[in-house]
Amino acid sequence: MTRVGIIVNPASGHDIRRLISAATVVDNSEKGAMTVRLLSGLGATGVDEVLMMPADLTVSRAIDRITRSLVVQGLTAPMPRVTWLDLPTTYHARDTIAALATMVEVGVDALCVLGGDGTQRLVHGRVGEVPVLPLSTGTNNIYPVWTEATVAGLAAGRVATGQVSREQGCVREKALEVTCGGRTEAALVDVGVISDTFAGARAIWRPDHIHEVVVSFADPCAIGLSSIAASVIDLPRGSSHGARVVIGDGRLHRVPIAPGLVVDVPVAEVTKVAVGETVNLMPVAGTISVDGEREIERYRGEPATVRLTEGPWRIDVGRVLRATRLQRDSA
Amino acid sequence: MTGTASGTIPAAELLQAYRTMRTIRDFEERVYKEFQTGQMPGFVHLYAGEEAVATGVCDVLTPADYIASTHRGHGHAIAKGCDVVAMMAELYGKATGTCKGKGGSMHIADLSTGMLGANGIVGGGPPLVCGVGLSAKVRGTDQVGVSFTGDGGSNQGTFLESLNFAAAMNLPVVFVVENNGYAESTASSFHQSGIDVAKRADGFGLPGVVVDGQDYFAVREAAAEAVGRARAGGGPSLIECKTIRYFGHFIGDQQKYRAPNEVADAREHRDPLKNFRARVTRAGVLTDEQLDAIDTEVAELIDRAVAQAQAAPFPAPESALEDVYVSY
Repeated sequence: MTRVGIIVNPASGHDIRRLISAATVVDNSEKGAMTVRLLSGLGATGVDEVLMMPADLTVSRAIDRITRSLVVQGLTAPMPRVTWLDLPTTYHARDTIAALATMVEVGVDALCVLGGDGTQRLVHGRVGEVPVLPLSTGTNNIYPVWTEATVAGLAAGRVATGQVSREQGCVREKALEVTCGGRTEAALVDVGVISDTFAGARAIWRPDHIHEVVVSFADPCAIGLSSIAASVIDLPRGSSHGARVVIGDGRLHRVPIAPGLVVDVPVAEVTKVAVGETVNLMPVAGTISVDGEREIERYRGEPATVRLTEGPWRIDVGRVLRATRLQRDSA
Repeated sequence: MTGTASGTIPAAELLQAYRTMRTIRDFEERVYKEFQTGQMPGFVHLYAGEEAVATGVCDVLTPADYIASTHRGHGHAIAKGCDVVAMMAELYGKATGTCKGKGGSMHIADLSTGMLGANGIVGGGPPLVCGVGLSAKVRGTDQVGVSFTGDGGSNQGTFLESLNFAAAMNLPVVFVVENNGYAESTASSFHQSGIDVAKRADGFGLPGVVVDGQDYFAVREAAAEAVGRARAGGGPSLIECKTIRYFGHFIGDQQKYRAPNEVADAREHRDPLKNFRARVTRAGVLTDEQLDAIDTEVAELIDRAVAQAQAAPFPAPESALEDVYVSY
């Protein structure tokens, strides 16, 4: 039997960037509709069961409403059996962590995660070698991608059922492990040294507050802090290196620092960082950001390090679907 | 107000922020104690636990801006600058009170500080600040109106009508939702369609954001952006602050709907004052000695407020028909 887990963060997508820039808004009905689209893709590829994290009613009722409409219309395409996990809902990150633990314990062949970078980050280190399909419903849309969910469901289903192998259809991402003042946090995209004393509303949008950025990849299509790295170096997802970028006296690069916000940032230095390598962050009192959000408040003299590590297996929708076609053509 | 981004807030403003939060906390803790002596009339709804919301928001307002409050209004009144001694007298129903002892806890208003009033009507504040915004727009001032509403109030028609009106008229208004998890005794996970009130703003075409209401810096940063934009003609916003009330809906509420350790856990791990003190002292911006001195001064202020309130006279019977809309 093939089983897939679906995580939906009902709270993603309402941080301060909706005030300071033109950040995306994804409402919960859309998250429900995306889930139904995913289910149809998963069902069409032969996935038997989907384990669902308990969600806000605005998500779960949208799923129920759309599913019933399909039945009323007589559109009864194969759908996986949906099992809602019997877990308490506290509307906190602990809900996602508890759902992931249950899914891994029960055993899933793939995971689909709807949320922003913050939600995706919770997956890292908690699901072992299980392939993960990250779909964006958050703000900065760097790690998770915007992909039509039906198509994404087809790709996730083909990996889960073994029609396309993990090695053929997935990218082994990298991750960053930042340690400061006894705290260790994971990042999937970038870690920043920021001069704001307090984490505050968390988002970063003032370029003169950024001193240093370490990235796990540098994709020119990405937005946020990693776009600074992408303006000076090309490190595709899944490549063997990340990069460290020092901001300061140097050539100005025009980069999309936040949705709807393009600014000039001076880059002083860029160096490649290998997997397993540890970087000592600049000794700047302030905050350390994780995937674009101020997370750790760092005080004077506190050392901080970042280590580039292996990350999750990410299901690459295009790669899976191309592999499917090649298999069919050669059959 | 000078600093917007956290880290650029001057130390003097941070000291004042702590003083405001400490004053709210001590005022409320003392009212809780004094109310049980039976000398204080009426119903009282305490704001303790939610101090970072009122303080973070009001710290980015000017004296010319207006706020409209709720039935849980002591914190808003203190943060907007109402006199604490007069407020305590008002709660005692004394002639020296903010409203000459005729309003009580749920009707403290002081137009000289921009406090339009606490409000016994749930969801009563948002339409009032739409009036503020419309007035400011028509008169061409740069004033901003801010309403505070609870999660229960956010289900009222007045709240939703106000979001529509403010968005349609592009008014300089900020709707602050204090989501403390309960509408009286009903959990927001039960009474709300969608756990985030902020998402309702999307439907009306204004930005809605969620911040940690226990974190002064998070609230202030979001409020600074929203108020600054409203003042610049950028229209309304909604800020939902996830917060925790330490007492019941009113003094006397048995709170059997809450988990046994809920409040104790919040006081230990999510307290806005402890959180603030730990962070500003660790960062070296303020010292424990400075904050301790404020604790002492505020304790003296509250002692004085209670003593003066208890000693003050009740309003004269013949003044009952003064300060009303119609003279008899």
